[in-house]
Order: sequence, then C-alpha cells, then structure tokens
Amino acid sequence: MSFPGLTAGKRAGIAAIGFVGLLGLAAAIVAVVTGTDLTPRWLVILLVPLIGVAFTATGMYAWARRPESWFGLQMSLVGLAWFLATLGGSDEPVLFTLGWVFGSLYAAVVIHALLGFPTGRLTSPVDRAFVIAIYALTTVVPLAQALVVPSPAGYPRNLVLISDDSGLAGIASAVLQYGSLFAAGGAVVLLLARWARATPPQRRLLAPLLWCGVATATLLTLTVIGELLHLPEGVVNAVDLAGVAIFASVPLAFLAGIVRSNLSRGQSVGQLVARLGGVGGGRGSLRDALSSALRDRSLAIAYWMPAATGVPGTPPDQGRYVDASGAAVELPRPGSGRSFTEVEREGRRVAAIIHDSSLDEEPELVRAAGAAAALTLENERLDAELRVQIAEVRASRARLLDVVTRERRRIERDLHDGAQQRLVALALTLGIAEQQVDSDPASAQALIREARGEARLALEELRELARGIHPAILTDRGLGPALEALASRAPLPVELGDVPRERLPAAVEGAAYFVVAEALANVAKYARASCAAVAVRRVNGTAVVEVRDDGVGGADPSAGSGLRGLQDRLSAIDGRLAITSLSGMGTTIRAEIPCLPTTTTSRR
Amino acid sequence: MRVVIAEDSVLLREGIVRLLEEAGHEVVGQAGDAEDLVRKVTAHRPDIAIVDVRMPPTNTDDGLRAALELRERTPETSVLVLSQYVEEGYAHELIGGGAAGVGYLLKDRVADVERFVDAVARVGEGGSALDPEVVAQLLGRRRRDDPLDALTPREREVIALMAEGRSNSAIAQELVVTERAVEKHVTSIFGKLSLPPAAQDHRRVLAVLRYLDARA
Amino acid sequence: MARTILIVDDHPSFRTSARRVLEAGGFAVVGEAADGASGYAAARDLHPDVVLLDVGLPDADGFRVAGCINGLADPPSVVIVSSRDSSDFGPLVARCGARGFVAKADLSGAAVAALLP
Repeated sequence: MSFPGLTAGKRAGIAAIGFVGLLGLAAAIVAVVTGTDLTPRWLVILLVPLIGVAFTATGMYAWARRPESWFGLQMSLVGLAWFLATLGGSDEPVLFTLGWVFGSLYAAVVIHALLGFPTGRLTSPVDRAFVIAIYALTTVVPLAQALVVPSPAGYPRNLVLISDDSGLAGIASAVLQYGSLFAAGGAVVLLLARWARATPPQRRLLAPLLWCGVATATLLTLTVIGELLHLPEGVVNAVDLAGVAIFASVPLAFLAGIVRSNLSRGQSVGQLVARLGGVGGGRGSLRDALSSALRDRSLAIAYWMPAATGVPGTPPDQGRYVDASGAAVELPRPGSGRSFTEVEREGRRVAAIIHDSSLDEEPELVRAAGAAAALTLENERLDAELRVQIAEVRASRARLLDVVTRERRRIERDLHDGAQQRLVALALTLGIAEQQVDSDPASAQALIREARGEARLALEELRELARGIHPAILTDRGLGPALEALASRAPLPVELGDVPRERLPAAVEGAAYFVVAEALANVAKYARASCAAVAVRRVNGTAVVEVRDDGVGGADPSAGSGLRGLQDRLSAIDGRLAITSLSGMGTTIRAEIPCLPTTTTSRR
Repeated sequence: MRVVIAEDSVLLREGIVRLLEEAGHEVVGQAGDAEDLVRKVTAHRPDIAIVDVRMPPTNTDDGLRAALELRERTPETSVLVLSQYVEEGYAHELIGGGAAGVGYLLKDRVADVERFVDAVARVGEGGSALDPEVVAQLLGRRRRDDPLDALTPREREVIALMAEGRSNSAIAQELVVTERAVEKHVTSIFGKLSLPPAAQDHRRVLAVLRYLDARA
Repeated sequence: MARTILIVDDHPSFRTSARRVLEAGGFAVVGEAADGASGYAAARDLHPDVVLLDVGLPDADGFRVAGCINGLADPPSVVIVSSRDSSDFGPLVARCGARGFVAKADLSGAAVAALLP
C-alpha cells in the first residue's frame, strides 16, 4: 500500500491514534472482562472491542489514504470514543465515571463524520450548528446530569456527584431523552438532505456510508421513541441491538465502498480503452466515452494551448486552456462543486478533465482514464490548436486588409490633392499660353515658364509620394542605401549602425524602412533630441530594427496615429513593436520582423 | 559637341536628343542597352556619353558599370550619368578616382532644360556636374559638432554650388553677387575646413567631396 | 455684356487658373468660394449668371450644393467641374439640375459657354 501525499506530521498523527487506540483497546478489554451486568457476555466481550478496533483501524487507513481529508481522523476518533464508552463497564470508579458520563460521545462523532464525508468539513451552516448541538448534548448535558444523579445501584460510585437532586435530575434526564430524539431524528433529516443535494456521481460515493448512517440513526430514533412510549423492554432492546449492529457496519461500508470503486475502476478503464478503439469520428465522442467511464454526465474537456498559440485575449507568453471550438476556458475553483484533473503525455501538458468534485475521491480512476485517453486527447488538442490558429490567421488577414485599404485611400487622396491639381493647373496655363502665342508672345512665354514650374512641382510631389509608398532605392539597392538616404534627410544627426548587407524579403525591408522613417519623423517632431541612432540586425530568422534618441522621452504609442499605423502594419506580417520611453530618458523604438514565412506551428 | 545617349526609355531618349540638338550639339549615337553603349562610344569617340544608370540587360546598374568601364577605356570621353534617385554610392564610384569629365544628375533634372544643357556642356569640356539633390543629401547629413556649422549661410550656398562643379563665375551668376565676392567666400570656406587649395573646378569638387566623405 | 461667373472650388491653385482661363474666354469672375456653404451664400448674394461648381468640396457633396442653388429664386446656371472623368458620375450630373460637366483640364471659356442656353 502506498500512500501519496502523506506528510511526516500526518504520519505522526496516525501513529499517535494507533497508540491511543491500543491503550483504549486494552482498557476496554479489561473493562469488559471484569465488568458486571453484561449480557450476553460472550457477545459483548467479542463485539465491543472489535467495533472499536474496526473504527480506529479503518480511520487510520482512511486518513493515510486521503491525508487532505479529516474523515479518517474522525473515524478513528469514533473508535477511541467507543473505547471510552466501554469504560462504563469497568469496576474502577474513575474509569466508570468517565465511561458513564461520556458514553454517548461516539454517536456525536460518528454523526459529525457522516455529515462531513468525504472531505470531513461541514459546509452547510445548518450542519455545523447541528453538530455543535449534539456535541453539547453528549458532553455538557450528561456531565450536568452526573453532577446531580448518583450511579444506579450495583455500579461503582459516580465521582462527580455533587448533590442528589431528583428535580434537576429529572430535567437533565428529560433533556437527554428528547435531545437524543432530536439528535437521531435530526441526523436522519440532515443526511437525507445531503443526499438530495448531491449530484449523481456524488451520490454513488456517499451511498454506502450515508444509508448506513440513516439506518443507524433511524433505529436509534425508534429506540428512544420506544423508551418514551414505554414499549416492552424486549422490543426496545432488539431495536437498540439492531442499531448497534448497523453502527458497527459503518467501517465495513466504508471499506466496501473502496473495494467497489477499485473494482469498478478497472472495469471502467477497460471499457474506456475498448471504446476508445472505436472513437474516431465526431467531436464529443471522446467526451462521451470519458463521461460514461467516469459516470459523470457533466464531464467536460479543456485542451492546453501553449504560449504563443495566440488565443485571443491572452498575452502572447501565457498558455491557456480552451474548449474544442477554441474559446478560452476557466478551470473550476476549489469549493465550486467541480474540479479538474490534468492529463500529461510524454511529460507535456495535454488537457484537463473537468469533473464533479466527488471524483476527487477517486483520483486513481480519473488519472487512469486520462492516461488511457491521452493519445486521443492529444489529437483533439491539436485539432483545437489548429482552430485557434485559423481564427488568428483570419483576424490577421482582416487587419492586413484594413491597413492596405487605408493606405490606398491615403494614396488616392494625396494624388488627388497634390499632383493631380498641379497637372490640371499646368494644362490650363498651357492652354492660355497657346491662345496668346501670336497675340501676346511675352505673356505667353511667362505663362509657359509658369507651366514648367508647375510641372517641376508636380514631379517633386510625385517623387515624394512614391517615396512614401515604396522608395525605388529600397527596391533596387536594399535597406542600407535607403536608410542612408533617410538619415541624410533627417534634421538631426543620425548614426547609422551596421545594416545587413544581404537582401531581405521585400515585405520585411519595406516594414523596416517605414519603421525607421516614422520613428525618425517622430523624433524630429517631438523628441527635442540632439541625435538619434538606427541599427538593423538579423537575429536568427528575425530582423530587429532599433531607433534610439536622447530626447525627452515620454512617447505615448496610443497618442499618434503614425505609431499606431506602424503597429498595425507590423502585426499584419507577424511583427512586433515595442516602445520604451521613460520621461527624460529618451525613446527607443524596437521592431521585430520575422524574415521567414511563418507557418503557424513554427512560432516560438 | 558630339554626344552619345544611352537610355532605354524611347520617349525620354527622343526628348533629350531634341533638347541637345536645339542647343546646337550633334547626337552621333543612341544606345538602348549597356553593351550597345560601349560599342557606340568606342566606335564614335564622342565628347560626352549621357548614360542612364538603369538599363538592360539586368536593369539594376548596368549603365553605371558601363560608364565606369568607359572611363577606363576611353578616358577622353566624358560621362554624364542619370539616375532615378540619389544614391551616394554611385557618386563615390564615379568620382572616386577624379571628378574631371564626370557628372551625376537625377533624371528629373532633364526637365530643367537650362541646367541640363549647362551641365552637359560643363562635363563635356572636362568639368564636373553633381546634381544639387545629391549635394544636398551629402551636405545635409547632420553630424554632432559639425564643422560645417562654422560656415555662414552664404558660405553653405557657395560650398553646395562648388560641390556641384560650378565655376566661380557660374556661382556668382546663380547667387547674384560679384565674382570677387565668390572668391572671398571660397577662400574663407577652404580656410575654415582646412582644405588644400585647388586650382581647377573639378579638383575643387573632389576636395569637397573627399571632405564630406571623411566626415560621414 | 460679359456674363458673370462664380467659382466654387477648394483648391486655390485651380481657382487662380480657372479665373485666368475664364477671363481670357470672355467671362467676368465676380467671386470665389472654397466650400459648399460659402458657395451657396455667394450664389445667393452675388447673383452670378453661372456658377462653376467643383464636385469634391470639403463640407458637402457638390451635387447637393447644386440642388440647393437650383432652389434659389431665378437660379444661376450650374456647371459641374471635377478632376475626374464625367463617366465616373453617370446620371448624377443631369439629376442635380446642372447644365453640364467640364473636366478641369479641359476648362476654357468656350467649353463653359457651350453648355449655356
């Protein structure tokens, strides 16, 4: 038996329980063997220690098996409280008093344990109040009673007796009786309520213990009712014995539950593997197979998208879980009634199975199912990844189209407002000159000279426009000479560092050129810098463009449409723009442009 | 003068031919690609060859290569190179060994008829002609603690015109001042920049260009 | 008696050239406007015989301005100009009530006169 998750502290705790349990067992045996008025004697000698051992040992095993749950400890405490109760059969006054006063404590502990199964924690405020009440009922009230009631005749002396007050005794006795009724009846109600609240997978888990508990409590209730109604003692004793017998079977029910889950686990996983052989078609068939293997209809699968797969809405360096259609998924938080188990394959995270939190009790089952399905999960994960990337490509294409359309409109506008107007004026001027050539040659000559001026200006504007679209020098001679030209035209000193001598893809060179052009334009306009430095480096498959200035800094990328347009342009070719601009410390604009054609899987 | 023109755009070539003939020059050969140019120049030995940088067969810088080849083979033929954009590298390659009989103009400059004809004449006679835009780019390159900042605005105009290859009288005409004033400016410039005095205009061009080059 | 004409166009260089051309062609230019609102106001206040109206105005669509001008009492003749081709506009010219269309590059006194009654 291996117990994962068992810390040294808990190991010590279990050992302590075991030690106390042994002591208790010894004391109980002594008490039983030497005690009086126990019929039938052999049954009692056999059963009583056995029940105590069953609870304590099962409790220790449960605690070791699930160290994060308090249930195991509670079970063991039931056993120890049981031993405490058996001390009531002893002849020794101290032991007798203890056993007599706290003889029903074990009932409170077992109700607490059953209500808290499987985590050992009581979540409902009603449950909590109830448990506190019955603890009071089994400790405070009997103690109060013992203060005023002597032990029955033939029994050892009650050591805590203060004064024999039959009035108070009567009250205490009534409280105890009705209290027991309340406790037993309340336990039945609360356990049934627990059942009603539970989801089908949770019910499967709770069933053995819960029904045991309900049966015990019901029988106890009947016993008390029988006493109150003064039914014949034989009937009351029979019911009482039946109650004890069912109570004794609680540890067995717990162990049976474990055995059943182990058996069914093997079955489930076997069926799952067989079924997975046939799984291939249709989205959701794996989910259905897992759902029926784990018997959780609400089961869902989330696939792991590693960083840089580009799930919309996530930063590029984080991985994220998505569902089969590629939408982001949030994993359930503890306490929400659902939890998740991650599935790995060959050391890499593949998917997470989101399931009812009752399956936390059977982690081996979930893990086995996950391992059986790992290959299929990986395939489905790749499908989801593909879908995410297709969506990203579509979005990127839309952005690119947007950028291109805007550029085109700008060009048309510039052409219309600039060169076209000049050429119109030119044509008109020449028209007049033509008319005046004979009648007023001097005026005609002046007009013609004017027309030439317009032509020159139109040429200049067209040249500027062409440079704004894609400079010829960039196409013909590459980045180096084109950036030299940019640097020369800048109104401040520009140090041009090394530029790759080899030609880069046209789109890359274009993007790099415009990054520098826009950056230098901004430096000239806003930075109040004394000089700027431009460098282009090729690092692996990426062109890194940096423009640094020593100006006032504080550049805001959202403020200027130029920088925003750059970001759009770059993101359309999978590039990135980073602006570092602390106030007073100058500005650095850094663009990373991939040179290789990016296939979706080659992105780092 | 006798001229050979190498230009693959027929429209432009015709325009230049007409322009030059109006100005009194004789166009003895027209070439549509680099090889044809070399053949025609070698055959006709003109005073000047006007060459477009970009020509067949590769349409990158065949014209430039041919022009440089001609400078070696037929040094008595001046070369005036036309380019679509300013490329400092071309200027360096053309003028590297010497600026006599070399010119580099932007194609657009052809539309400026007087300037173009003037440049052709200058280069054909052994002088130099650098396009004002090329000069502007060279001069415009800002430097920290730029020695050129020591020049007065008028001196900057003069040095730009000097770099273009203009003579003192041409500069005086351009700036509407006396030739003496120009001479004074030139001396001042050479002094401020510690340039060696140069007698001929094309040597001046070389000196200034070398200076600007070293500054870069 | 020279016919009076109002020039409405947002490009100052064209207004200058057009004035020269039209005056050489026998028109008297009584005013210039750079956008639709002031063009309409000038047409209303100056009562020109003809309005030379550019399609691409910064504050309004030239065809709409033409419609507004046609709504004046004793409206002037409207001649549409554009640097674009007339075929780009199709039936819009006729529908807005203008006399006709002249491409900017072909502007001359004769071309405008040919469109008037």
